[in-house]
Amino acid sequence: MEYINEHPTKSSGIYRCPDNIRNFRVRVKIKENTNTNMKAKWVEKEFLWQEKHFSFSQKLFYKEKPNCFTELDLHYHNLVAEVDATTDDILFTYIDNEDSCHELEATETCNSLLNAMETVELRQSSADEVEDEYNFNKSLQKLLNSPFIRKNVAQMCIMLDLGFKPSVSFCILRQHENGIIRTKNERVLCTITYDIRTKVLRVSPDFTTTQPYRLDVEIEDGRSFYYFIEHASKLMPESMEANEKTLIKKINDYKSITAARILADPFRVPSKNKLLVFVFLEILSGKKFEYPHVYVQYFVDLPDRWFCAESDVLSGRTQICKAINNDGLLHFGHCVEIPLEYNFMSVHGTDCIKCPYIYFEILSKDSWDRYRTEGLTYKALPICTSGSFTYNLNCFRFTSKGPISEMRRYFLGDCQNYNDVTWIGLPTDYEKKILNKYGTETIATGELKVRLNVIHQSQAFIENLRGNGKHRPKPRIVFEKLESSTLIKSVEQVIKEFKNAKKHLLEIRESVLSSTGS
Amino acid sequence: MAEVHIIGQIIGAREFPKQEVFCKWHLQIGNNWRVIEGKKEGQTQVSSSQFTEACNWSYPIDIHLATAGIKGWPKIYVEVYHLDWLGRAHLFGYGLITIPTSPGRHILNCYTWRPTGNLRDRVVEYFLGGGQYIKYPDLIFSSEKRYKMSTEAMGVVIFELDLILRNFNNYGVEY
Repeated sequence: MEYINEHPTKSSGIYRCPDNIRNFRVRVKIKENTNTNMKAKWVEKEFLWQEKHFSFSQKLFYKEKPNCFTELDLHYHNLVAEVDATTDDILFTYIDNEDSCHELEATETCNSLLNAMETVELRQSSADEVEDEYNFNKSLQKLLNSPFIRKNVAQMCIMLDLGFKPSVSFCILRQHENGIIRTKNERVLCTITYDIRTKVLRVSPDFTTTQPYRLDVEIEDGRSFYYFIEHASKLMPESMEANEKTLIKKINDYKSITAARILADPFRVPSKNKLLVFVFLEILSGKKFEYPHVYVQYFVDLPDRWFCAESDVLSGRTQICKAINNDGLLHFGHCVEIPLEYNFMSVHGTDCIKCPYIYFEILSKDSWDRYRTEGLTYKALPICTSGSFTYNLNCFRFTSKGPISEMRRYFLGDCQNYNDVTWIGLPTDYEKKILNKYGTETIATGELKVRLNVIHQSQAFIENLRGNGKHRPKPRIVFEKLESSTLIKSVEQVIKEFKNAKKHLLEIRESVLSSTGS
Repeated sequence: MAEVHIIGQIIGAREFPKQEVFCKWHLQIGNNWRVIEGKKEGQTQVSSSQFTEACNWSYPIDIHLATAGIKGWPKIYVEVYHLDWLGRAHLFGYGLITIPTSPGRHILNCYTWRPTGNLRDRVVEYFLGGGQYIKYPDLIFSSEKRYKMSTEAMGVVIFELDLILRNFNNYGVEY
């Protein structure tokens, strides 16, 4: 058997409410649950935000002028004089400026803190300057001035009035009337809290329209109530809503325009025949190399049709780092930005783009300025796909048999005992069928950790140019993307047109020459 | 105008020789880049841990950048200091990382190092404390001049960054 919960559990609802809170309206429907078959009527009442409704006892209280001391009391006195004191409403409200409202919520705030808060606010308003740059001292001062977060909330409670009750046990507010001490018997139906700063509305318990909440009043009484809490704010008329939408759109457009204005230039797009590949190289760390003072030298080998505008970043070296702990850990933290260009004016359909390689030489320098090769390694730049890549590259170095080379390395250093570092990868001048590296002796050494971030930019990738290609799954490999684009075709068209124009020009020239010759 | 949001934390530091470290950081961006919202530099609190080697800062980073080009992609530069019992701050390391270029969550290790002086400097440092500083921090950013320095490996600063890239597609950038 399934247990059906007839009455929803009470939970708070949190709503974003950017509009004016004054328009907020809540409707409460309440009915007493009677054991007899008598059908009680639903009592229905609507409440505006911070609208004061009086309970019967409050009406009695505020009617007497001697009871009223504060300005608020006097204001209520005037209000009560206007309303009909005899009508017996069981629903009433506490609003934000009444102490009892906050007492109900049981939020305890220390008076001294509040006082401190006020003085801080005074101080802040005088010394609150908008600054662009970060100033450590000032930020520290500010931090000391406002060590806690202020709650900036307004509240209202919708209450159920159950008349007077002679017992003290259920005392919320005691009052003196006609010489008899009586306690008020009242229950909270709904608490509504609104944070003015963040514009967040909390309704506790949440709105309900299908199932009523149940409220049990004391066991001895045995009374219980069902009630609904409904959202009753008036909807905006359609024309106004449309107006607002266009206004918001205008504001957003204006904002984006002003935002774009903070940049002097528009975004640079490469010319049509170019693929830009931005490689962000980070030489992170190394470990397990033989000698302690180590640096890394790198260079990028560009094949045909590749071009780098800043050729000095194609090679470089890091600082010398001293190894620590048993692992011989080295930290480099060396960041380089390598902007590469590929010119695919010369792509002929199926031709494959050659991949650039990066070569690393790990060298050590000791106190007598002896340089030794600690390791060599290389990596093909991951230009095919964009993204972030981290590699642990294993290194080796060249050696030759016999004690002489060992002694040479120990006493003199063996830096660059090789001619061409590209040999460790795919040698550039290699033409035979099989790549043969037999007969070379090497020793495995440490490990180098590098990270590469790759970004592509080409006009071929601009969504608008692709037309209806949006719904297709995006190809991951850059060449596929290029192939699938209309770009290469258009380049070929341009070339064809150029050739035609050239031919045309030559014809005219010939004709002119012949005419002048004759 | 393409936009980048960098949201995340400087989680903390580990493998430094001593506890009680704090870090100053700032964001390095190229000329094409502008900060729309958020602070581009800051300083963490001094942190030490009772039970583990790692120091946690959990320092929030939330920056909104606008750009007119990929060149000068943001980097984060950190300086780690150690605060000793006399209240003196000693340099413990410089570090530089590139913000990843793909959107999503990234855990990044920033490997830091500090300059080492000659023998005399090391003797002085051993007895009096303190350490070597770089007079012109430009040296750290220019990869060409850096090779003249001799340094020693220090700890690792851990970043957790979430990246959101926006409008890059309009300019044919694939990330």
